[in-house]
Amino acid sequence: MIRGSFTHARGIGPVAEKKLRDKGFQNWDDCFSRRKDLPFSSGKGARFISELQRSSAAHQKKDLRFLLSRFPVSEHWRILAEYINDATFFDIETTGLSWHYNHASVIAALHRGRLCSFVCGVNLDDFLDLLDEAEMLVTFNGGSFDLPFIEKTFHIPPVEVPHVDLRWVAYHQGYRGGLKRIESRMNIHRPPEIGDIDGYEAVELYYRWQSGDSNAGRDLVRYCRTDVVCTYMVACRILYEKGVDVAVQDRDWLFREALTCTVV
Amino acid sequence: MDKFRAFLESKFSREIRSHLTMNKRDGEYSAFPDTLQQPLADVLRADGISSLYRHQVQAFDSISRNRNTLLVSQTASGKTLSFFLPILNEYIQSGQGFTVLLLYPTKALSRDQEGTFGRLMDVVRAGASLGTYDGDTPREERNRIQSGADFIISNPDMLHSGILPNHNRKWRTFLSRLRYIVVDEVHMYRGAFGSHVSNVFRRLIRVCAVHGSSPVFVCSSATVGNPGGHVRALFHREFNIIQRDHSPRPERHFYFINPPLVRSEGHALYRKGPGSVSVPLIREAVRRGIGTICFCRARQEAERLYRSVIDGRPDLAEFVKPYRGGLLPAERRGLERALASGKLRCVITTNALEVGIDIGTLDLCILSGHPGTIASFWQQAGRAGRRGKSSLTVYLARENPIDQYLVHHPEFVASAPVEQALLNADNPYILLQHLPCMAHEYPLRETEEHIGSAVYAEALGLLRHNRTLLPYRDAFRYALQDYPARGVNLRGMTDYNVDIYCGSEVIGEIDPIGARGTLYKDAIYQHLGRRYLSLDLDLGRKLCRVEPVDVDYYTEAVWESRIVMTEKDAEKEVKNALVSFGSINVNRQPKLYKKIRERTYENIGYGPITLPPFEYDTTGFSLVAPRAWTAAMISADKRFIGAAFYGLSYLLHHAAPLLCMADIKDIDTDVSLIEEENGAWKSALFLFDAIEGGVGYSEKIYDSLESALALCGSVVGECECGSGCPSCVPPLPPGVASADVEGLLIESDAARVCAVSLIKALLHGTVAVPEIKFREIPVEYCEGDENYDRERVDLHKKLDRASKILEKKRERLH
Repeated sequence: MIRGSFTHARGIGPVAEKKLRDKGFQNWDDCFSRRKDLPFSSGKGARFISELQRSSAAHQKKDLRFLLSRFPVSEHWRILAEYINDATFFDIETTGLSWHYNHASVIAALHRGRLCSFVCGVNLDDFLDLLDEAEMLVTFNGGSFDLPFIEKTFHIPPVEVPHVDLRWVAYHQGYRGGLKRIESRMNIHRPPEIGDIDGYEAVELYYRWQSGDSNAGRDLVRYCRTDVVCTYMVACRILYEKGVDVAVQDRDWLFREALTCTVV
Repeated sequence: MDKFRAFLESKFSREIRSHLTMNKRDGEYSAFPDTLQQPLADVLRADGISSLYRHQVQAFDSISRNRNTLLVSQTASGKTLSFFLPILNEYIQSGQGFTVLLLYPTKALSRDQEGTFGRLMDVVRAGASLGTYDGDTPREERNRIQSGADFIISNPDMLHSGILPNHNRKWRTFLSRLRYIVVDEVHMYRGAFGSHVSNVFRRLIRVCAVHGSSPVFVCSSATVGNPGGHVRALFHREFNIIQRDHSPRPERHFYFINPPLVRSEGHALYRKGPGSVSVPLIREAVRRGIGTICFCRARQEAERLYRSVIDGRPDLAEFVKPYRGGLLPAERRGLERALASGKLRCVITTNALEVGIDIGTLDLCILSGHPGTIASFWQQAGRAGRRGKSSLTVYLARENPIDQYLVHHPEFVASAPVEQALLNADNPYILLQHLPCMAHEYPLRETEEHIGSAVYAEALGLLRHNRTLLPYRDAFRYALQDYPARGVNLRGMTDYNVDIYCGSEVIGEIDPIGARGTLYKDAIYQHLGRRYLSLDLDLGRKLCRVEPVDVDYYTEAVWESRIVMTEKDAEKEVKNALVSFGSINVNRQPKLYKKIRERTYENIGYGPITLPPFEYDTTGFSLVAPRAWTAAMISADKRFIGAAFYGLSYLLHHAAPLLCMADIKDIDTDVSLIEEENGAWKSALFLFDAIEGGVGYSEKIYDSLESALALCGSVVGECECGSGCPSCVPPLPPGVASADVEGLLIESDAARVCAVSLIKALLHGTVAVPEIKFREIPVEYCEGDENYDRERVDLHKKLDRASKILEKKRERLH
């Protein structure tokens, strides 16, 4: 999948890509074997090949950081398609939206087929261990929200784990707006137990929980876990629309898992 | 000017004690450096500048070679050009540009600077913008500055609480492109404040490294005794120091005037106030159009002098104005402009105009009393002096002994060394406050560059132990969810202001301690010559209501202070003298106010002040004299005890800052009575940190009391005065409350001799009333191998205590 991308190479736009595809170049290996047929001048061809060789080496080494930094966001789905089962999906809830005074309250993650949650005052710090294990992070809007908030909550330097922000992958697939809007367009229905809790209510839940309402705490963790599951499903759906056949986890099982809450 | 001097000499011929002249000095010039870019050279030529002072060219070379540079300069020596020219020169040559951070110690100074860069800035304005980022900057403007300005003017407080904690988000771009940090008036960063600021610079250097920049420091300082050592301590790096000033100096005349002694109706002799000289001088100077600046010691004193000058001469009101801290920014700027343009001929001010602010050049400087330090004396006198014309400085002595000493010994001013600026960034108490901030910005490593390793290791251990820091990979991250910078005040206890309201309009502001002494209910508050009656001072809500009033008196508060040791932590005997260290409660309270009639200074009434005391807990020690010494003194003359204590109190207050790298303002001494076990009362000398919570200064003196006393001993011993002077012990040290003792001190050199006797008793155990000596009593000292460990245990204990105080403070704040 990754080896089918051309537009990450410098000077290759949609027009050049079409030329390549029309000439039957499907992936990097085609380019390496039929180097002479490339529809470029010799200089441009040599640059193109050397760039593909660098990408190919990174691909063989599974250097996702390099690939993600090189690939345009519209091509990130290819990386996701190949490594979705190695990816760690996560989502956070916060105590408010101020960079100064608020921090993460609950973090949920789908990591190596397991759904886990990290709760402030209980085991939140354990998330840092998971972060050290993770090979690739997938979030919805994490680039501007979840990751900076994680850095702020734990006071750690910028997280260096490769990261795919699904919000922009979805955007290039024609899905705009927030996660819930995209879910409804994709016919993904959240379990009725979660109802229509949104981000603002989640903040309220946190404060109700802090003042002694343990049901609020349970609902908050469930909501966060459900968000992660939904992020995962949106990713699967986009890959499906791209024609990628990936073995995905069972939807009903995941939602059932989301509703089990072991920490609070 | 010569005519004015003739006027001065004839009118005050009997009061002038001496007249010194400093010869004129020609400037030394150099041509523009070869590398100076044409657009900048054009701007300079357009302003009539065709060559630079030699020190400006030296600075240009040093800064262009990217060396950390310190300029020690006097006012009007072209300081701004010295540092700004090379930076702009490099800026217009660099393709990508870079960012520059300009730090000034106060908001007032930084606001003033934006204008002074003026036309030079126009050369690069197309590509770069300049913005002031401080507490007064509106929110929308902040975003514009953060995202677009290449030159940002700010202050250390904003750096500490606004820029550094947000380095990862809003300031990332600015900090990663940072090439120069300009720090003006570095001599103001001394003592506890300087130690705090030094840690802020540590944090800044660290954060810059995170963003891949390693900026060069360019600093300027007024004259201090140790410019090189001071900047090294402040910035933790070596500097190229450009100390010689090549700007021209006009001939300068200094007159030392002692107002006359007169007999009052009750036949008592008293000395007239400095106003008796300054008022006619100012009136005459204004009449002749001579630019004049008059320095007073206090804000309300400046206001009163202004009223005396225009009293009966309302025509002068438009040419003379008071300028002081606490004015509104618009008022302040209006006055600065009027002064620079020459519309205003005389400004009566406080030390607010001692530094920085560009007010043009003046010809006459009047010092109404000694400003407290030699450095300030020269800085204030330096405000007068214009190219090609001689300048005049008139020093007026007040009645207090230090002023009187100076007026009789003008050579003291000319020869005494300028004070050193001291600080210690590794002060455990201060470092402990900054480590959480540092960790909040970026995880702390096992060792950090430029931080003393022993104290760092201990403080790190403590913060790990109380789980403020948690291990993260090979470092330690901040584990709490608060904003640690919020709990750290760089400027100690008075980091907020009380707003003064007249109706619904704010007419001024004042710090909370000043408010207690000048804005209590029924106080008369003077503001630019207008008088207001204070209706209500609400310290909780930080506001004071006043209403305009027309009276012919002013009010003066009478303060009372009480120093109590609330908890004894340690105790030791020094040659049989009991010295106790512990928590000290300082309680200062204005108890009543006096109404004093203007002109006649008659006391026309008084009233009570019912304000809560200004109170803080700190650490300090008390010292009770050895019994034998006390007994010997009582048998000779009981007043010797008071004389000795006040003398030693003065000496210790001035010597102690040297031993603990503090500023004199950070330490306070007092003589007070303490109760003994048998119910009797005894005089005790207190020395304590004048900072809430204490920062370990008095502790250091307690630990090395012998060296402190030895230093005091040699200060007196080496002083050539023979009978007491401000350099050793003045004849009447400040604080003496008893009329009996005061009488003795004024008539004799008792303060000096008795202090020496007490020092000898404390150092050698000798009791030396004239001609009497006792045998030495040895004291055992603990020495040996366990010293190192004991030090560590002590340090741990101290830090633990300080950390608990900080924790409580943070809890309170959040």
